[in-house]
Amino acid sequence: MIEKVKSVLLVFLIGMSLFLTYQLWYGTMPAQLVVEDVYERILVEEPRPLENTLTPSQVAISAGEAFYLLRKGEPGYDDLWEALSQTLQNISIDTTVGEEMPPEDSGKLLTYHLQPAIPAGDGLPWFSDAPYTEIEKIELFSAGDQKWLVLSELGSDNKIRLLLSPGKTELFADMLEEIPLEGKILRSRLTPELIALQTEMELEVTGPIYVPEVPVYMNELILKPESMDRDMILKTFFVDYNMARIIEEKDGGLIYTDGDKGLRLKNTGLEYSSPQKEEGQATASYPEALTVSSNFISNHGGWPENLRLEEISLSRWGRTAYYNVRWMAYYDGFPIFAVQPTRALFNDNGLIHYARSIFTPENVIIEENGREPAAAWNDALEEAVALFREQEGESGRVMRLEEMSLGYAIIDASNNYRGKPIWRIKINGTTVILCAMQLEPAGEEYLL
Amino acid sequence: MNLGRAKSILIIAFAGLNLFLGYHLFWPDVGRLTRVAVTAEELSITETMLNENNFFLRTTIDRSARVSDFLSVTPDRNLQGEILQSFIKKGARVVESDGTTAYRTDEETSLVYTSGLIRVIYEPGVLLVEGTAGLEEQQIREHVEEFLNDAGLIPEGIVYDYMEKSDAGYLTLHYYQAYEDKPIYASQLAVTIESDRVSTVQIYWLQPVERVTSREIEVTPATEALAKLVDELGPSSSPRDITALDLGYFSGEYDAEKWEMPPVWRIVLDGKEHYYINAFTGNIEQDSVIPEQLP
Repeated sequence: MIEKVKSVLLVFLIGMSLFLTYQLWYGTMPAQLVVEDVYERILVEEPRPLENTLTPSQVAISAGEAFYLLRKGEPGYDDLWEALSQTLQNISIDTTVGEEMPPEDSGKLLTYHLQPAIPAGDGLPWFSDAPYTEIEKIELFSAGDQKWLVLSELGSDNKIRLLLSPGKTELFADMLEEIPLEGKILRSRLTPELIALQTEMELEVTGPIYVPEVPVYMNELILKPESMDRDMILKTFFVDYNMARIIEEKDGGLIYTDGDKGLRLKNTGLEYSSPQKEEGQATASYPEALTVSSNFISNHGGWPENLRLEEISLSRWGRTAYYNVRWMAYYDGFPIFAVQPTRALFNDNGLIHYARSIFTPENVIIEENGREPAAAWNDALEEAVALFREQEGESGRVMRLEEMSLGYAIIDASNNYRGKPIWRIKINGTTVILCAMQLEPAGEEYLL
Repeated sequence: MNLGRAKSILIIAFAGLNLFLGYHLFWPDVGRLTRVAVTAEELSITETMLNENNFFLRTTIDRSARVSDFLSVTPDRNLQGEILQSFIKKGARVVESDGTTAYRTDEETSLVYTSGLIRVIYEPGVLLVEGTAGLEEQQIREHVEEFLNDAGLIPEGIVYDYMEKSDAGYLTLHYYQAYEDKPIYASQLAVTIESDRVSTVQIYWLQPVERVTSREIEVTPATEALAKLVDELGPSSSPRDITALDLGYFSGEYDAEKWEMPPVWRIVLDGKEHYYINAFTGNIEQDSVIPEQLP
């Protein structure tokens, strides 16, 4: 009997040794060492739908020969845009009227300047039953009880004329009455003739530029850089940021990189790049690119209320192409020019580069001895032209005034960020920044 | 011997064998060390793939499942200080320009870059030994290490790597740094010999701060690193030998205060061409993907 037990035991042990040898040789791992890939779910801000990605660069309200201007952050701006956007979303191509409308005796009430242009038609939210087009300007005309919208197509002289329904006519009439214009700055639309008259200089004017006719008083701002949830930001860029190494920079910045892509986090914002994605095509249409850009900014930090999509363009070099998108923060209608623009570069491969630096006003600094107004536009322009000539020399080229705006630039006063009023003037692609009051060129203390 | 006794001996022997195998398989730590990440079959498939692409494995592959972590480092300012102090004692003149500081004596110049890189240039060169070209690699190495020792240029943890000969006939001996028996391939010391004379010594040495053990992860198998490299390089037109494949730490050169290095598989082709494959992500390590200011 005992011999039988020994035989069974021996067979069992031989079988067991064969099994264990197999396990060891072919690498079947013990269950406790098997780690499944786990993808963590993260909650990010919901991207804005297409109809909420674009807003007008400025809305000019006619006041005789002059204008009141509304920009992002000013009371009435959002309401005026919402009214127009809703109107365009519910309007049909059947309301189109002929070139004779609006009649000559009609008055222009509003001009919406749309930079970037809004895509319309072809099933898109705006004017959906029309053929595809891009609109760069919309004017509201009125004569008697009727109102018309005149849509200017981008890059052509084509105009689409639409007669508003009585309901929409009333909506715009009520809205215009409700807009608080008291205390608003009266402005003139800048033309070469007006420049020549006021400054005796010859400049072409590209784009709609409105300059104040009366002194403008601006407060210095106390600004706060956007506070970001670093952990969340990292998770939006790296599937598993445990794989990313950390580099501590000499200036206190932190870089995370997995060898493929890199993310720099600083007190004033972030920069991300993924160089391997640079070589690729950008086949997305303009409306698709707008949606993608909305996804990117919403996923990577969110889209704050005071931030406006300022520019979107398609760039190409050689065989590579990418979309370049830029956003700008506003305070009470004035742009805040940040340390670096909030930008995204992307193509069909995905996000190539993303930079984000958003400052929000915490408080205004009230001067005890009364405020000094910003220098008049003509003085600012003369100073800018003199600086431009100093930098670029007398080339004899025609000078084109591309941008001219009051706004805020950021200075770092011992980690207290201030928004200083400035004039920002762009001539032939060169940007000149002048302190708004003294018209001195912005010094090194400005984070530009 | 009767059958019963033979059975008893075999039972004891197999029981011992089973205990040994079980211990290696299931004992948590030891089991992990001996667990294979590359099976014999996978190794065979990889070798076939390499040969089809004209690459030939001339080294052994680590088949065990390995875990690793990041290594936190800073530029070795102490070593830099010691080297520069020796220059100052020799009465060196100090000239600063464009982020580089030069320490000059009549016969030596030490260039110090903000990243921590030091380049010592000897003019007209220090005679190492006559007829260097005719010596064996081991003999040249002994002379070079004697020279480095005399010059006070032997940093801690130095390990000899390889010697390369340029088309112009210059010899360069390469060393790397080891920390806890693991190579830090980013830390390098290179000695160049021109016509029997040491012409330059280039040192980029790092100070290990800590191993980030809280982020210890299993590394990708060596076979995956090989597959990635072949995928990246494509088929070779002439036969290429894979002469070494080792696990160490590597990163680009950063002008930073402190940074972490990932583990990498270093693959050496034909004894002189080096590729670094991130052992966590499986990607080829690039020089730098630090975000730069947009144009």
